[in-house]
Amino acid sequence: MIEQIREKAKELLTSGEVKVVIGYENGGMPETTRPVFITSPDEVERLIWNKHCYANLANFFVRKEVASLGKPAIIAKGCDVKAITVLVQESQIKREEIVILGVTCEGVGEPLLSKCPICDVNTPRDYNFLFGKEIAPKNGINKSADVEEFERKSPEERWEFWEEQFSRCIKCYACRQVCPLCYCEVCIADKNQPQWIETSSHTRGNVHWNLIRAWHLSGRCIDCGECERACPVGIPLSLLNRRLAKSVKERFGYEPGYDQEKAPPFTDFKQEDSQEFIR
Amino acid sequence: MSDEEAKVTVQEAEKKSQPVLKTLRPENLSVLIQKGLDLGYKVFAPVKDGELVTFEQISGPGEVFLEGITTRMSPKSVFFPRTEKVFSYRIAKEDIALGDQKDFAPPTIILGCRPCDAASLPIMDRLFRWDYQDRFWNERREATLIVSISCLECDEACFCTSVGLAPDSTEGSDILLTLVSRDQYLAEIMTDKGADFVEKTGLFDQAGADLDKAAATKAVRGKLGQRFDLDKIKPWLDENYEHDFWKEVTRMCIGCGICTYVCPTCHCFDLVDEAHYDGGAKNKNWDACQFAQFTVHASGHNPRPDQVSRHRQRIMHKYKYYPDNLGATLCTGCGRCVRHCPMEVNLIRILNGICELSAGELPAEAPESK
Repeated sequence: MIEQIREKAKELLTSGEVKVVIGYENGGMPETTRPVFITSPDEVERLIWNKHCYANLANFFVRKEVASLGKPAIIAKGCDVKAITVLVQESQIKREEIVILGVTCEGVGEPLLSKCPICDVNTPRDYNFLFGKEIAPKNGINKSADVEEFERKSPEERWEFWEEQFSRCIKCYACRQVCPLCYCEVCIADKNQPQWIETSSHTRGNVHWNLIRAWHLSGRCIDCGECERACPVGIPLSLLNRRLAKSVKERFGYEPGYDQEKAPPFTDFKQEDSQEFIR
Repeated sequence: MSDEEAKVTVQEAEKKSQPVLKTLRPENLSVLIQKGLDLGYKVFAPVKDGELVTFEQISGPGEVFLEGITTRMSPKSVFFPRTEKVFSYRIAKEDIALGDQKDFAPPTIILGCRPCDAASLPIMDRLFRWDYQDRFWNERREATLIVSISCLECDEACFCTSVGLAPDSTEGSDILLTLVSRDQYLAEIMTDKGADFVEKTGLFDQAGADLDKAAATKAVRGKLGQRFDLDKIKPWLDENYEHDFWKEVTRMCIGCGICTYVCPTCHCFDLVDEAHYDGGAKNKNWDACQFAQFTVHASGHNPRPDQVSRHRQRIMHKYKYYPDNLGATLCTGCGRCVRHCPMEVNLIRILNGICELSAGELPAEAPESK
């Protein structure tokens, strides 16, 4: 499969159709890969594909160091493509200005990351070229089983759990930086006149940051799990993200990243939206 | 204080001319921890919580977890917490009452420190005891006893031997324990502070002349080898502030603060006011050169406008500016930045690339770590 990807990358770069191929190269450390930006057809041999290709490369579209290279082709798993779909919907990129080299994927990580067993996009839903044998989407997956189990706890127990988890937060903002959908030029956490979010990493400041991050991703997060993977202190951020995704699905019947044409709930008003919370 | 005097670190001031050698039986390590607690010390040691091993304050030896290479976060937070009050104030009817911080430096022991983490402390003393005397850092340093344990294992991210240290370096330790045989730690007592504690516990025995630390750590030294040539780094940095190399090797950096926050020697902080209508506090919070916000001027101008310049800054600071200004490399090779970078930027790879460039051989392709 990697041979076909390299061949296509070479072809796209040689013809000048794209100026850079965003993919993965060997990371040097065991079981790691690193994002790589191939600009010359002679360098395509650096590209690799394996179950350690974790990073959601859609993150790089909005980074000026990469955008300045010119039109990109991107190697993307099904989950990464969902992020691309949201970026297109939110007018961050134009679909015709990128080339998606979709890869079918049976999951990444050993053991698999928590997003993989509940994945229903093993074959990406959008691509220009597909690599790997098509994998039919699994049916009847419960994507919020972990949320449902967690919700059996009492509110006090849940609060205690999150307070404990957030107490470890060091405010490194890796969860934000690694997120393909956290693209604000100035994040609310960086606004200091006034300081909306306390920068101190005490309990109040940490709870404040972690909730606002999750909240800003509600109805948008496509569960690529990059925030949870990056978090250096092991905060289970996906659990928080999936909780919000569950609400959005229940209330608006919407899952982000699946259909470019379907309006995201927070940009759309429908008379029949449930409104029982407005009293 | 003159610059020269400032460079005398806490350890150097107290250091014994010759280390005193003793032994400790491994089963007595728990007794030692308990003695420390009984003597009224606050004790910090590695604690395992799920997958995560970090330094925590402990209340008994049973909590301590000494396996593994480095802890996720370094023990720098004992001296330099990620957030702390510098002072607080309350606004009363007529005046403002200042609340000064007190009792912030109780007698403390850090137990189970790795030599790379211990070595970071005297390196940072140079800064915190330089022009401005940081009393939080300095008083805590003076009140803290460092009991380190030599490494017998390493991983691919470790590179202490490439920055002039070793898995059994004594730099920064008051007492360094090395497991020289199944039933014996060799204890190198480096300072008076360490000697006082050893005497108080009564748990250490006289060391025989046959104990060989080098033999115990030979295997791990061999595994570590030399990952790059430190001597080639600074001369290249001196000449190459502008170079396309920086763009190529840092393009995948997403500008999070992980590398600086897990680093035992990164020490940048931000002073922020947290004010409420009747009072507030001035807090000292960790900050990172990797953040866009870090260098933004009041005018809006940002002298480090992109991630390339911010990443270059981190490497320049560690391998050029700090050596130029304070006479030490600001890196102990603990490998945390390599291990925990979500994009595998890999400092070893970058430093290797610099070595290759400085040898005049342009790397054929992406410089890989060796």
